Amino acid sequence: MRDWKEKLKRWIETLSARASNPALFLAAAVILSASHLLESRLRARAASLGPVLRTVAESREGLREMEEEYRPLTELRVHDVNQLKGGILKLTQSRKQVFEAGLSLEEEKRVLEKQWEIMSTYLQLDEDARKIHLMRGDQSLESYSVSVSTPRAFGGVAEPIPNIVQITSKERFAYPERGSYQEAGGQLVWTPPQVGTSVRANALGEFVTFTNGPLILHGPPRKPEEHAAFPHYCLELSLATARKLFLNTFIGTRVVLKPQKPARQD
Amino acid sequence: MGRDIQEMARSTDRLEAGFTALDRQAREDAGLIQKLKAQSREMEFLQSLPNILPADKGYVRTQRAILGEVQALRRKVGQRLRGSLHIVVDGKANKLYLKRGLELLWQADCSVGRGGTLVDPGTGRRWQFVTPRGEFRILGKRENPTWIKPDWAFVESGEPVPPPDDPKRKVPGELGAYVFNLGNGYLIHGTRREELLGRPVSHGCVRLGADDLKKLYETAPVGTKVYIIY
Repeated sequence: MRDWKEKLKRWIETLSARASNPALFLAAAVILSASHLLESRLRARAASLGPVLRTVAESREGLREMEEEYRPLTELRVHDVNQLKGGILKLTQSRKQVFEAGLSLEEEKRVLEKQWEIMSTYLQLDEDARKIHLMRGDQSLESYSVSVSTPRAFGGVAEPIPNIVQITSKERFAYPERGSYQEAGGQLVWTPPQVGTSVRANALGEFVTFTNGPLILHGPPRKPEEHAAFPHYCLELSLATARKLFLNTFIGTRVVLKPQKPARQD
Repeated sequence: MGRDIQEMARSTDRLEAGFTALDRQAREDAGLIQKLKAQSREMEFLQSLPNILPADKGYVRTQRAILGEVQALRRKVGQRLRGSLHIVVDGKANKLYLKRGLELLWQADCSVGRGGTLVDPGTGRRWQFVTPRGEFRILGKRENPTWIKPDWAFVESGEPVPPPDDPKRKVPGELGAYVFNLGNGYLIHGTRREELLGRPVSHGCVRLGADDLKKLYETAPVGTKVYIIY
């Protein structure tokens, strides 16, 4: 311990002997002036930061005010948009329903009208006026002239003509033989209607409307002699009348040849 | 001097905190403004959406008037139908409806006659591919029918027409799994080209898709009325 103290004392004495007093004084002066300079600079910088800090605080305050203004505005707008979206959704759904109901109604109306047209249309022969009327209910829609007042028999047809017959098929061009459908050996055998120059085709010509009786409505025959030989009842229609009847009647349309008179009441 | 340094450090910290807060605030405000602008744009877009339906009350009034007409038609047609099961084929819309009285049970796309006339240049024979309008009945129905190919099918494809009993005329599977006979050569049957359903492409028969044909086969008995309308 004593050695250590002795060593320290000797080292200090050596150091004191080496350094001269003016050098020490100079060093101290330099350090002091540097410190003073640093202090004044720091003080000046700190003083200059004050206004900046105040500006920042003011700006921050301005932004806070702006935020306070915009936040409720934005919330209001978000609310408006959500409300509008909900409203548009409901409106669209409701309008879609109205639109679909309208479409469905139009579709039903069209189908029912056409169905009723088929159900209520019939042809009525007016013997006195030599006309055939296209009737719907009690109303005559169109009237066509016919050459004969009553259907004429051709080809030695023996079958009596009923008062009311029904249209069963139509052929735009009279086929040589009608189509048929039958089952043979558990299989469907369908013989399609054909077109050619057979007696049937020559006799009936174009716009041929067949009934479930012996009456056939058709245009002028290709060969009158073959027409005369073909067994059927005929109204000897012109091509134009046969065409109109062909186009304006349906499968299933009734042809009333002799309207039933109401019973006499005494 | 130590105090000055400490004060300086405190000022710098405050300044830094102030700038950070200012930056955050500015970002928030910018976000709000952006959000507000976006909402405004969305609102403008929503308000500018076109109305696909007339908004005036006249539309509803017209619908009411149509409803009155439909109700009158329902009464008239309903009295004739008396609740019976029937088929309606709409040739213009190419739709088939199965109805019981006025009640629609189901509907399906179908194909009816494409119209037009085919002329055989060799013999001068002519065919018109039209599905006739009117009231038909199902006269018969069968499973797995074989199509007996008619002359027009050979003429149409430019092939020589074989004799009536020629095996070339027999085409199994062409008519689908089931067939309904409506008389005079008109059928309701299936098709190999279901993608054409809904369009008038047949040669006069009514074509249906396989599933609908099966459903119809299971539902509609022989004797069911078929109304073909246009």
